Amino acid sequence: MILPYFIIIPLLAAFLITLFSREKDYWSITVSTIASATMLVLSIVCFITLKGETFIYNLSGWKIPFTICLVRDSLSCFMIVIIQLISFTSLLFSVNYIRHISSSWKYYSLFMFLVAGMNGVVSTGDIFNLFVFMEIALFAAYALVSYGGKAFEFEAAFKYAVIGSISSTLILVGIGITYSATSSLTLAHIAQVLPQKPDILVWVGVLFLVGFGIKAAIMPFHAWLPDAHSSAPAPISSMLSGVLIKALGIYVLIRLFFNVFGAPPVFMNIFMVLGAASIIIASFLAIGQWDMKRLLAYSSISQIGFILLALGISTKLAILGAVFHIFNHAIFKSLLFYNAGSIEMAIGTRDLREMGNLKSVLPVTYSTSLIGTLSVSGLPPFNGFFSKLIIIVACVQAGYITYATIAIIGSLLTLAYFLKVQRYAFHGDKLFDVSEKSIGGGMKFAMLFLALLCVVTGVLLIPALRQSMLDPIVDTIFNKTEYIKLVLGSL
Amino acid sequence: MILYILCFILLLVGLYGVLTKKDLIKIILSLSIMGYAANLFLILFAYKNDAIFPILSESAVQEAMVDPLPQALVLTSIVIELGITAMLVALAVRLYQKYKTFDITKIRSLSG
Amino acid sequence: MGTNELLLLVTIPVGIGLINIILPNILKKILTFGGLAYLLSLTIQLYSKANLSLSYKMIFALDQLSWLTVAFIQLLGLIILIYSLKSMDEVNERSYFVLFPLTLAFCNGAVLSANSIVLMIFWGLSGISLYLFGVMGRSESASQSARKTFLIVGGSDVFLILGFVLLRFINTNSGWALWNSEVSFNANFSYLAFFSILIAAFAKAGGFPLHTWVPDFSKDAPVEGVAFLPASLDKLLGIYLLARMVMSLFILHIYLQMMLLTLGALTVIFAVMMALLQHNGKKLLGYHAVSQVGYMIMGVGLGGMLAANGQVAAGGIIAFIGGLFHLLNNTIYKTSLFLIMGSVEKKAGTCDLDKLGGLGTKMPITFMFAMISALAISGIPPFNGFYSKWLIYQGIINVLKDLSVGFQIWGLLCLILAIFGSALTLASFMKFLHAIFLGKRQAIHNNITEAPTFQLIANGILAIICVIFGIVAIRIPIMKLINPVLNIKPEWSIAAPTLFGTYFPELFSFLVILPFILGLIVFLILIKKKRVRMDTNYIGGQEPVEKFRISGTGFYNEIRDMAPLKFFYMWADKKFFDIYDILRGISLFFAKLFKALHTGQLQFYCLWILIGMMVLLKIVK
Repeated sequence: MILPYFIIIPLLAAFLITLFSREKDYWSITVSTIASATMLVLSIVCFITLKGETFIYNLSGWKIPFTICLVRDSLSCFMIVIIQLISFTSLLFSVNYIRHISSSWKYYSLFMFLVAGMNGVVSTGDIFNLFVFMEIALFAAYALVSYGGKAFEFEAAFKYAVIGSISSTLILVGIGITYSATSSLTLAHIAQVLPQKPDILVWVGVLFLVGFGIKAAIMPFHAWLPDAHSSAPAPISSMLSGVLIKALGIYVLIRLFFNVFGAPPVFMNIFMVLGAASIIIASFLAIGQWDMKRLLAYSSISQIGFILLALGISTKLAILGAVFHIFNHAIFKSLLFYNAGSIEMAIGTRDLREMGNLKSVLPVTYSTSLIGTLSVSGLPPFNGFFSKLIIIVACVQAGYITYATIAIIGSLLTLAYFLKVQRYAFHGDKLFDVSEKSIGGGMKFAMLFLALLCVVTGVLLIPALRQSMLDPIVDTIFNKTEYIKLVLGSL
Repeated sequence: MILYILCFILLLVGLYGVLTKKDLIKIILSLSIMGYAANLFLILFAYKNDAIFPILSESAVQEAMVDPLPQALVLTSIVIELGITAMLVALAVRLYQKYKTFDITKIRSLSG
Repeated sequence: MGTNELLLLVTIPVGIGLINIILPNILKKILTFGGLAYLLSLTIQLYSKANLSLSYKMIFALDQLSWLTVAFIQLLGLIILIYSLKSMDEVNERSYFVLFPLTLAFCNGAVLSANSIVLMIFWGLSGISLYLFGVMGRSESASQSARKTFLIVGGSDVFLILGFVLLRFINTNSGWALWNSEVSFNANFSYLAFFSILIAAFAKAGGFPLHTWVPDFSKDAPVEGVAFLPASLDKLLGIYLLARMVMSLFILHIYLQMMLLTLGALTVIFAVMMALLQHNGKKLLGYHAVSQVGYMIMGVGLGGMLAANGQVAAGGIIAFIGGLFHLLNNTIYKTSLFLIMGSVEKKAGTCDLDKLGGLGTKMPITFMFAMISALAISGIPPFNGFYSKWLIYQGIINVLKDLSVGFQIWGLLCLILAIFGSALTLASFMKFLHAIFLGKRQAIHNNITEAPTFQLIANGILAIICVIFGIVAIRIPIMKLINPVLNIKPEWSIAAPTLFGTYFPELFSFLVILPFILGLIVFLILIKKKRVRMDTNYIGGQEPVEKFRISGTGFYNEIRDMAPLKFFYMWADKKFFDIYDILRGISLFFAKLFKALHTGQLQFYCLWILIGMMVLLKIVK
């Protein structure tokens, strides 16, 4: 019974923070950090002890399909590990960073809601429950985006919320149609019935693809992302870019289109086309940016494109690439947002043209951002290299040379705009009278920790580790109908 | 069938509002209309002709009942929409304070 | 123990680099020097074992070609290290001694790898270290150059990945193992694979049109880094990869080989034309570093050319040998020139040729070394640069003999361009030598002294190698170093000496040196005895002023105004030939276009969603 704790602990923490907080933020920091650290440990335990099996937790005395269930399989455990990892480092980063905006318990409370919502989304086995958790996470996200209280932050949050509610409506309609066709809300049951009704599957598929595509910021549905992700406080940006778009977008797309719908080829082709479009167009957009965080936000869209492209190829190798890239992207994108945050805190701007020569005053930020840059651009020996390599190999193996070339060009463009960041932010001959002491220890630790992960997570591909860590996830995704059997069989 | 079509039209009304109205509040209202339409869909899916409310009681005759689950879903969804609407309205108020306007076409400091 | 030696070549320098992070300054230098000296001796010991094709768990393997490259990496690494023992400033020195051994390890790894994934990793790593050397320069333009460099070199890395992944699936039975695939061009996408890998090789070595980072990098990075990477190690790596492609990855056909020949000739002429007009010494050398690559591409690209009878043409082999020999020579004299430029820069505080001049009397030994290297690069016998170019020309002519008329004209054009390029190289080095060492000295440079000993030692070694490689060109470098490489492909190994024509380097050197010695004797006996009157210039009774000083940079300004070349230089100034700027312009255009679509208008965004949904519905229905 480990899975419910990932929902209970953050909710409880949010409650305790709200209840007992005073003007000083010590209590909220303590509670949220303890909660987050506990969950991080638990999540790793949860992932390691799983061993490729699937467990079901019914949330009431009734049986499936009359109850809501939580499903603990390798994919959801994997997502939970990522969420806890990034949320823990983000919390550490927040401690100093948020004080420089305003120290209030509301931030930590909302943060805990965000985590609770995402954990709920990735662990539930019920589509409506997923919707509810998604709304919890989004609600917290809207509030956190506008947390800084500046004009453009409200604007970004408003746009995000409007587009978010449109997508929620589409998803709700989709859920309605699904229910009317299958008389069930449990994903495994839907998976049994729905693939036999191709007419309905198409409608539901499009509604879900658009609805969750908006959450994942796939190319024509991405417009909210650069605004929201660049306006939010840096740790929240890294939560949003690092995990939210994956937990709410990519994870759900994987779950629905692979495990429930059985990977219909027409949608797989759409995945590839949208993925390729996201890679290229978002990269070009990123090149034109001068706002560091906006550039990073566009880069997130392009990296999501890589993941989607790999999912669309849907061979075993491609899915391995996608899964690994989800993990890697969470790490290096969060790291880069932390870098942007620490620069913003040190010199008070996000505009690349106003920066320069920060490598001499912010050495930790410089070195970690260099690692992040090399990693996101797919240069060896950092983790991004391996996931991109796998994706390209998978493209070629499946015969999609064009997509392989697109991925290559996307990779080149990624290098181009990240070198722009390096060149304008860290090199040059400007002088700034700041020192890295103004950045707190928590922030430095968060950056160094993620940079370390960028360097070492390549070892996950060593066959022994891969077989025990990544392969079960790939199997979960790849054995489309196995999910039904596993969930329903373990009643 | 006519009910479904009307419901779909309601959805389109909401969509039309989101796409064409400039006023923040009208956009929020349009979003609510879309939400209502979606909720109505759910209710309609569960509706059966000549069925009664789904409450089991000793005295009641066993007849065809409407599906209770979507109604529960709709209740939840209404609560969520309430929350989101409150959020949007709060944001609209703050936007008005910052930009001195309710016109969304003038609130465009983030672009490109 | 044989298996471990290859591993040592990578692990020792990595270890040194990591230890150097914490060591104090002096120990760092001793450790690095000792380590590198050990590696060099280790490599020399491996010479006899190169035929045994040592390998380490399918990761590393050694054959003659990789031995040759590795040996030169160690040699140049050691020499450049000697130079930089006492040349860096405090700030850069710390990171330099960490980066230097690491770079060496990466280059060794790339050359020794027998597995394409390992090659990709080390290749990318060496690109990263190039970038890190680039950002050591502190000026605003240095960061720009470093960015450009890494974009071209690091960007070519992804093409390398694409190329090798394609190869892996074109030739499925060899797996990820390298160097035994021999892809002919009838498989699907083999052209894509070939050009992807070619892009990587060209970007690294600096071949046209991917050469544009070299001059910029040379201008802005610290000179030790320039001499270390673009001038020597990157050349070795790039041409090594090209040679591998020609020898064992692909079976080229004639159009591709003629294309390589053309690209080589274009590289030579484009770069040397630009070099003529440079005012910055390091940038001038950078352009020459590019133009020399052109000869190597011409030579190596012709390797394995088939003659009319279906046999491997002897001319192709000669050109191939010439190309490799030119690679070795170029690394030596180009490194030497960069290091000399560095010595001058450190003494005079500038490498702007307009401001230098007349340093020959102040730095006589450096001047002598510079002379040797400059003559060598210009292809003056008896120095080494002559003989490698000679072999390449001879090979080209030999190959063209067997071809049809169209190819002959095409090939001859390339040959003429190359020879013309060689002449211009000499011209441009006349300017270089004059501008730095001859002419009239500026008053502020009167206190300059000779370069420090370590720098002289390093330059001296390089100059001596230049001379030795020239005098015993056939006996040592070709027969002992390059000829064994041909054993990798048995059908290529021919009785080399019979084909080299009637040029006997030793005799010829003697004939060239003899008049000099005679002249020296005459000078010492007859002229030195007489009293030579030294006097200042007499300029109409006026004090000599700065504007009467002839710096030498303006020697060739007239060609800028010559009719056809005018447009060439005009376009070059507008960066029409710089692929980096072209691509940059294109991507900024797209960026602007897409940015214009993101108006910030909420309704517009919602419309996208609506339209996207409609389109999706249309597709799936």
